[in-house]
Amino acid sequence: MTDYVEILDTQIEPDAPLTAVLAGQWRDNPIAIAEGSPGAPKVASRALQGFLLPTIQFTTTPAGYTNLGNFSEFLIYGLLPGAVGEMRIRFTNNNGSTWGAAQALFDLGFGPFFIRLNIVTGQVRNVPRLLTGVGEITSVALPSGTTNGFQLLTTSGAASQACAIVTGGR
Amino acid sequence: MRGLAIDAITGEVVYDERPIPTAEETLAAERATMICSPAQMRIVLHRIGRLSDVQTIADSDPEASIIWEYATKFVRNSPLINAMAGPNGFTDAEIDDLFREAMGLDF
Repeated sequence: MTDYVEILDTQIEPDAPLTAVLAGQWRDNPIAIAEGSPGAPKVASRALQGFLLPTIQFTTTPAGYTNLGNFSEFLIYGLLPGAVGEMRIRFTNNNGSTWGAAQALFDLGFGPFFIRLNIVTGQVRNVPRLLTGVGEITSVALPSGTTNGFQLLTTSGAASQACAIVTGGR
Repeated sequence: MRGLAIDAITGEVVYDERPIPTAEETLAAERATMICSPAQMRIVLHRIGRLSDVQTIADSDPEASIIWEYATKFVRNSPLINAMAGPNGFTDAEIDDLFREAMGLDF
């Protein structure tokens, strides 16, 4: 692992010499950051292209994620084990202290699902089924302020599983 | 109920307020997933020497006989399977075990 060595102000002040040591730090410090070396600055989550969130299980009791204030887009994929009534989603703008009303996305029996969700615009894509009596859901209502969490739930049935990939920052 | 929430940055469980299922609820949830093919069920019954018993139960009702012969799947929570229970048939626990073994068969 490459060492991270802080570049001092004295090394870069006017008329400071360009030394081999300084050049080495220019070369090696970005590598050390990418490797997560001890002492190196951490990459802010908003700078990441995307990463995988832990798998959740949900039923009529919701399950989901908070601290999403740095992110905008998600790919949510999962599996419904059987007839689960409606698949629903709800949001928070205070990291889970309170949650808004659950909103129906689709009704579906057994099968996988892949949904694209944007918690800045409320746009929803690729719901696998039409919601009975309503049609394809392409948007959901978001709370005021910054949406920083969402939960999934169903209206009946055995436990479903889902996993979310962050695909966009704010 | 707030349910479950995971902090997306740290991965920590922020809270878990999901109710702990009772044994009955757990069994009911498992039974909701018990589905097997007719071949799987017949092989399990044959291996325990009870295939003819089930055939007799099915033959006692015309619709049950049709389902037993032509169904493409057997579901735990169905009238046909529930008819297997009773004094001359199987206990609920035995039916559960039949499905668990049948669902594990692969050919």
